[in-house]
Amino acid sequence: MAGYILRRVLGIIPVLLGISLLVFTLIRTIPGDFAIIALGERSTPEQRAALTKRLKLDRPLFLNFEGGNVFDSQYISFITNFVQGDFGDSLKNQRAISKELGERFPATIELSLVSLLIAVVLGVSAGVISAMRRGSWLDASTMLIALLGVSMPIFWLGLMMQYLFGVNLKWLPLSQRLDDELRRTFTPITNMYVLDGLLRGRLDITLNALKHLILPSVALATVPLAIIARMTRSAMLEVLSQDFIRTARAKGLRERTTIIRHGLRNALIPVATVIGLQLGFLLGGAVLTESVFGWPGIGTWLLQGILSRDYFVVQSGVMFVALVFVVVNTIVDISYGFFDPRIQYK
Amino acid sequence: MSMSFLGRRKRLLALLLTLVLLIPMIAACGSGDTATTAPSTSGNATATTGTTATDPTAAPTEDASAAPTATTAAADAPTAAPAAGESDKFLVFGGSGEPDSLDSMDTTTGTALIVTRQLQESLLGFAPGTLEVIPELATEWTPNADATEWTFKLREGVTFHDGTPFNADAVVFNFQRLFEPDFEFGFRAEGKKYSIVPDIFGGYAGEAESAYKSVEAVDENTVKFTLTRPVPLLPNYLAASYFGISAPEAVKAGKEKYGSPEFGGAGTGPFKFERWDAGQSVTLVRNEDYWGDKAKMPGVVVRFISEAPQRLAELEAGAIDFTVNLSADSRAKIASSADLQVVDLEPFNIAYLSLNMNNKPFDDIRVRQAVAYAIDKQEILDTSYSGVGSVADDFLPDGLADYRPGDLESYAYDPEKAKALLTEAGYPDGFSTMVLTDGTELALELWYMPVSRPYYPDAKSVAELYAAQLEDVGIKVELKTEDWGVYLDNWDAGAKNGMVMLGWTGDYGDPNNFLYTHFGPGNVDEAGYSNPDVWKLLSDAGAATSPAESIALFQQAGKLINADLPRIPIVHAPPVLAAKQSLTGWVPNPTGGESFAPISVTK
Repeated sequence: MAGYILRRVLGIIPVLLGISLLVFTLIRTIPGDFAIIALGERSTPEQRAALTKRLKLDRPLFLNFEGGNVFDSQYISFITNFVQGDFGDSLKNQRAISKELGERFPATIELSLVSLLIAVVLGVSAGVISAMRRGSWLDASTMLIALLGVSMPIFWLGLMMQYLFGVNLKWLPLSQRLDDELRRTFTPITNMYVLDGLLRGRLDITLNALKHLILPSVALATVPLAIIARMTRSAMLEVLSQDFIRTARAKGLRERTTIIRHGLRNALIPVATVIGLQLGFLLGGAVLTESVFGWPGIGTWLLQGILSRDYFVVQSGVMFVALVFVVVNTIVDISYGFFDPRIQYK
Repeated sequence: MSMSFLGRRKRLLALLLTLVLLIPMIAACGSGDTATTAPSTSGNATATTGTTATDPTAAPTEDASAAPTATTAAADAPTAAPAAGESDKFLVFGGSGEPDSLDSMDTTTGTALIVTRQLQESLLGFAPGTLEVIPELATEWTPNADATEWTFKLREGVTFHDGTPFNADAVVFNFQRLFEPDFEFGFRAEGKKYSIVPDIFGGYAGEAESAYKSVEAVDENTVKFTLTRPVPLLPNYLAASYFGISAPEAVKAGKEKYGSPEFGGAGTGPFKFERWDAGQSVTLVRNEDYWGDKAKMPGVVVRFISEAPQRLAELEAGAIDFTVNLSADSRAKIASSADLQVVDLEPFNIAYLSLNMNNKPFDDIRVRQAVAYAIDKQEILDTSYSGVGSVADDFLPDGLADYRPGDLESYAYDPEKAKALLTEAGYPDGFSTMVLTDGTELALELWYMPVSRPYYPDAKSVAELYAAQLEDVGIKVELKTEDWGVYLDNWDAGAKNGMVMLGWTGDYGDPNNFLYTHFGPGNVDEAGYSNPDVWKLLSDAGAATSPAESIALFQQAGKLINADLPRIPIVHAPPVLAAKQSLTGWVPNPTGGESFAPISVTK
C-alpha cells in the first residue's frame, strides 16, 4: 500500500511537468506582443523593451546558453517559483495571482457543483420516468428534450434565458454572484457564497447567491442533464429486463420498491461513471457559461489572461488548476481502497 | 490503476468529498483579501507608512482591525451607513471593461480613467460636456511670457481621502513621481509605467525631447512648473484624467501596488475607493468631506461588462443605471423604450482609412485621391452608424473645429472623378494588387479591426461597404483581419500593407492629439507618410504662445495634410450612451472623463 501511494505521488510529477511545458509553450506561441497589450496602443518601443526586461521575459525560454547560469531561463524560473508557491503578479493589474485564484477558483467550483446537482437530480428522475413509461408520449417528449439539450449551444441558451428571465420578466439577475448592495456587507470565508452565507449565519446571502446561481447553473447543467437522462433511461431499461426484477415483482414487492431498490440502484452504476466524466466537462463548459453570465470564475479569468497575453496568469492559473485536479484524483484513487474493501492495491 | 467498475459511484462520491474539503484550503490564500481591499484607503495611511516601508503586508494587517473578519456582526456591518431619510441605493455604472489600474497616472485606458476621475482630481478640469478648462484643485493658473513657466494657485482646505492635507508638496510629489525616472517613490523598477508622459510631454525628465524641467512648491499653496520649451496648452493637458493627484502617503504605502485591486486609489475626489472585486466591479463610496458639492448618491458601483449587448441587456433589466459604448443600432431601441433614455455626446473621435504609401500604387497622390472620391462616406454613415454622427472632411472633430482649415477639399463622393484619376494614373481599369518596396506583388489588402470601437462599432460591415464602393471604380480588395494584438503589432512595425482601418478618440483639447499622432514622424514607420513641413508646422503650432498664431499654423498644416491625403478621414461617430429614464445629472464629457457626483437616480 505504501509503495502504491509513493508510486502514485511520484507519478504526479511527470504529468505536471508535461502540462507546464505545454501551457508555457502554447501561451508564447500565440502571436501578439504582450508588451503592446499591457502598455497600450500608444506606448513606445522603448517602454515595451523596458517592461520586457523588467519582467525578465527577454531571457531564453528553456535553457540559457548565452553565458552565465544555464538555468537562468524563463521556464526554469516559472517552475522554481511555482514550486515555492510564488505565482507572481498579474501583468494586467499587478494583483497577486494567488489572491485572484483564491477568489475565482471557488466561484467556478460552486457553479460546477450546483450544475452537477441539478443535472444529476433532474437527469436521473427524467431517465427513470422515461424508462418506466417506455414508449409513452412522456418518454418521447422527455427524450426529445434531452436530444435538444445535448445539441444546445450553451451561450445561445444562456442568452435566451437571460433575455426571458432577466430582461423581460425581471425575475432573475443576469449576471454576478451577489447583488451589489449585499456584496459589500459581507466578508466571504471560502468564497463559495452559498456556503459562506450559512457559515456566517447570513441566510440572505445564501438565498441571494442561489438566486444568482439559477440561470448560469441551469445553462451549464443542460448538456450533462441530457446525457445523464439518456444514460439512466437505457441503463434502467436494461436492468428492468433482468431476471431478478421479474423475481422481485413475482414475489409481490411493491412496484416502487422494485424500481428504486432493485432497478435504479443497479442502473446507477454506469450512470455514476458518466457523472464522473461530466465533472471535467462542467469545468470546461464553465468558460462559456462564465463569459455569458459574467461569472467571476477561473474560466473568464484564464480567457482574459490569454487575450491579454498575461503569461503569468495563464501559466500559473493553468498549472494550479492542473495541480489541484491531479492531486484530488490521486487522493481519490488512493482513498478508494478505504471506501471499497474489495479493492486491493499492490 | 486497477479498479473494478463497480466502484465508480463511490469514486465520484470520494472525489466530491475531497473537492469540498479542499475548498477552504484553496480559499485560504484569498480569504484575507476582502479585509485588505475594503479599508485600505479609508484608514489613516500616515499611521501605517512607518511599517509598510519595510513590510508590504503591514498595511492590510493594520487595516484589517478596522473591518474584522472574525466576528459575524462586524463583518456584516455596511461600511457606510446611509444618512437618515435618504436612499441607501448605490448608483450602478456599466463600464465597458475592468480597469488595469486605479492609479490615474499609471493608466491610459478609458475603462480605468472613468473610475480614477471619481477618486483623483486633476489640478484643472473640463466644464460639463465641453473641452473648456475650468478650476479643479487649482484655482488660478498663469504662464510667464513665453509659456515656459506656469504657476498654479491651489485650492485651500482640501484633504485627501486618507485625511492628509492637499498642498503644494503633494502636487510636487505627484509630478515628480510622474516625470522623474529616479524619483524615490516612482516604483518604476517594480512596474509603474507612466506611459502617457512621452505622448504628451515628449519624454521623461532628462530626455532630449522632454518638455519637463522641474516642478517646485513656491509656498504652501503655490506650485510652479518649469518647462524646457513653451507649452501654451499645458492647462489643457493637465485637465486630462491622466493627471489626477493621488495622496502621497497612499502611494508610498501601496508602492507598485498602489492602484491595484488590493490597494485601490486615493485622491481628493467626490468618491472614495471601497473595494474592487476582481472580474466584477469596483465600489466607491461618497466622500463626506468633499470640498465641493457632495455626491448625490451614497456610492457608485462600476461594473465590468465588456460586451455591448450585455450592457444593453443589463440596462434593460434594470441592473445598471447608466452605461457607455453601446452599438449604433441600439440607439433606436433605447429611444423607443419608456424606461430608458439616450444620452447625447458630441463625437470627439475620427474613423479613418490609412493607405500605405510605401507601396505602389498608393505612392501616387492621384490613386489616393481616387480612393477618397470612390468612398461614399454618407452611405457608410447611414448604413453602419444609423445616420448618427457626421461625415469627416478632416481629422479634427467639431470640438476642435477652430483649428480646421477653412477651405478643405472634402473629396465628396464622385465615382466618375475617381475613374478619371485612376485613368490618369495609368489604371484605366482599376487595380487589384499592390507592389511592396521589395518588388513583391500581392493581392490588394483592406484590413478591418476585429474589435468594436465607438468610431468603428462594426468594422467588418464598413469594410464590406468600402469593398463594394471601391469595386464600382475598378479597385478590388481582399478583406483581411487578425487578432487585435497582432493587428496593432503589425501596424506599429509598418507591416500592414494596402489599406488599414483604424480610428482615434481624443483625450484632451489639443489638435496635436489628433494631428501629430497621425501625421507626425510616427507615420513614417506605420504607413510611409513623411512631410517634414507638416511636422514643423505642427510642432510650432503646439508651441505658439498666442492662440491666433497657433490656429494659423494648425490650419496651414491641415491644408498640407488635406492635399497629401495619407489617411482618409471617414466619419466622426458619437458613442451611444444610455441611462434609465429616472437618471438625472449625467453630463458626459467628450474626453470620456466626467464626475459622477451630480448624478442621481430614483430606485
